[in-house]
Amino acid sequence: MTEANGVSAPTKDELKAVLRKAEQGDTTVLPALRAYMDQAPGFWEQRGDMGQLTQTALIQHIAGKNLMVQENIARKCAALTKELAGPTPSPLERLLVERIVLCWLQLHYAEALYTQIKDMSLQQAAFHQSRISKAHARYLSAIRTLAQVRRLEVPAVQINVGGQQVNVAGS
Amino acid sequence: MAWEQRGAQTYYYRSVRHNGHVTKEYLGTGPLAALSAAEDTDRQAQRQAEAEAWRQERAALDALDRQIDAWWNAGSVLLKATLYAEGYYQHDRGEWRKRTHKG
Repeated sequence: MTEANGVSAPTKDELKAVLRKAEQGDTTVLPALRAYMDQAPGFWEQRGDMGQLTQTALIQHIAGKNLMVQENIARKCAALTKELAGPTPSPLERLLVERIVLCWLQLHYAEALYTQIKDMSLQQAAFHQSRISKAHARYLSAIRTLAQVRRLEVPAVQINVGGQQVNVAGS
Repeated sequence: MAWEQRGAQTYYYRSVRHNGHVTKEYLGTGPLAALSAAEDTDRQAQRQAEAEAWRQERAALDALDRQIDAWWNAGSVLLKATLYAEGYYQHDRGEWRKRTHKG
C-alpha cells in the first residue's frame, strides 16, 4: 500500500476487493477508495464522465460485440466533436458539443432502427417514432443552444500556455 | 384454439376474430383437424417468440433511453446553472439573454 492524505491507497490487487465492497455500499472502504482516486485521477475522470459513459453505452448498443463498428462510431464521434468544438472551446462549449454529438448519434440510431424493422405493429411503430421525435428535438435544441452561447458574451477562460497564464475570450 | 369433447369424440375448434367479435370455427375431427391444430400451435408459438423478442428489445431500449435521459437532464442543470451564474436568463423558456443591470 502507498500513503495518500494519511490513508493507505490499495494496491492493484487489493483494489478489486475494495471496488467490490464499494459497489455493495460498504462505506468503510471509502477512505481507501478516495486515496486510490487521489493517486490515479485518470480512474475517476474516465468513470465519472457521464457523457463518455453514455456515449460508450450507446455505441455498444448499436455495434453489439462488433469491435470494428464500435471503433468506427467512436472515431466518427471524436472527429465530429473536434470539428464542432474548434481549437479553444470553453467548458460550456465542450458540454454543448458533447450534447450535439450524442444526440446526433442517438437520432441516427433511432432512425436506422425504425427503417430496419419489417412488419412492425402499430404499437411498435409508435414507440420508435416517439424515440425519433424526442431525439430530433434534443438534437435541434443542443445545436440551437451552442449557437446561442457562441453569440452571447462568453466570459474569458483562463488557460496555461507554455507555463504562462493567458486569458482567452470565448468566441 | 381447442379440442372439445363431445361424447366419445373430440372435435377441433378455432377461435377467429371478425369485426371485433370472436367466433368459433368448427374444423371437425381426424387428420385435417389435427393438422390445423398443429398449424395453430406453431403460429401461437411464433407469436409468443416475437412478443418476447420485442419485450426484450424494448426493455434494452428503455434502459438505454433512461441513461440518456439522466445524462441530458444532468447536462441541462449544469448548463442552466452556469448561464444563470454568468448573469444570463432564459427568455420565455427559449433564448438565453444577458441580464441588464439597472441603477
